[in-house]
Amino acid sequence: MSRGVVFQGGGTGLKIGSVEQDAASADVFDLLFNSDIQPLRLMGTGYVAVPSLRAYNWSPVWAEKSSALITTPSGTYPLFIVAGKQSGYGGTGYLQTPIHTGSLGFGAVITSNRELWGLNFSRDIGEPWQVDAIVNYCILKNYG
Amino acid sequence: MSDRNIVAGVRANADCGLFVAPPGVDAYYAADDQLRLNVSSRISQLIMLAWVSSPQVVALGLSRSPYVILFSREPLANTILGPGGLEGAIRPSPSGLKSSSTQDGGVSFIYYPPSSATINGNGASMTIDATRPTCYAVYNKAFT
Repeated sequence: MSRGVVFQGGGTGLKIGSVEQDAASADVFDLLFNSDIQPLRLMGTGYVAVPSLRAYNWSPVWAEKSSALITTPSGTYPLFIVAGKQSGYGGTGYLQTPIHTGSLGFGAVITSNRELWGLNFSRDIGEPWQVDAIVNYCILKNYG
Repeated sequence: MSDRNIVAGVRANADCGLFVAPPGVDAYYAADDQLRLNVSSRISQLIMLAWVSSPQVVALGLSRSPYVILFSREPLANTILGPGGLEGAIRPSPSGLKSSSTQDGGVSFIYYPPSSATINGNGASMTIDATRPTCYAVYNKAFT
C-alpha cells in the first residue's frame, strides 16, 4: 500500500510523498517534504544603499554595512542571494543580479564576523555623484 | 462535524500532502490562502552543502540531476576599507576584486572566470571548476 504521509518510522520524523509515491520508500526526488534534510528557510531580507566610489585611490569598491542579523557558527557562512540596482547618473538602473565589469557593478559580502556589507564598484569621475546602488539581500538559514 | 485543523493526505480539492489550518477553519475544505501550512508541491530541500578549495569531482550518488548553487569566498584584506582584514562569502562569485591595494589610483581588478558545476552521470557526481574557495549547495529539485 502506498503511504502518502509517514510521521515516524525508521528514524524518520516526517515524510510526505508525491502522488502515488510511498513516502516511506520514495527517493529524495519523489518527496514533497523530508524532515531528514533541511528545507530552504529564510533568515532575513533587506536592502542597503551603497554610495559610488568618490575617491578611487584607496579601494576598488565602496562597502556599506547593512543591518542584517546573521546567526551562524563562527567560521561558517549562510547561503545568500543578492539582486539590486546599479549606481547611475540621474537614477539607479534596473533590478539585476550582481555584476562587476571593472568600473561598474554591485554585490555583497558576508564577512567572517557575520556582517553583510553591500558593495558598489561604480566609480565617479567627478561631480555630480552617481545615485547610490541599492543592494537587496536574502539570507537563508542553510549554512556551511 | 468539527473543523479539521490538520489534514494529512488527500483533501477536498484532490490536493495531496499535509495541510494545517488556523482555528475555526477546516483544512479539508479551506482555500489555499487560508492555510497556515500547505505542503502539496515539491519544495527545495538541501541535500549537500560544503566547500571546495580547488577544482574537484564531488560524489552525489543521486538518480537524477539536482539544482546546484555556488558562491565563492574571498579574502578582503587590503581591498575594502570597511571590512578589511576579513574574508567572506561574496557575490558576484568570484567578485573580480584585486588582491592588493594600489595607492594614488591605477587600481586594477583581477578577473576570475565564474565557478561552475557540471552534473555527471545524471546525478552520480558533479565536477566543480573554481578558481576561489567555493561553496556548493545541492538541492533536490529535479530539472530533468
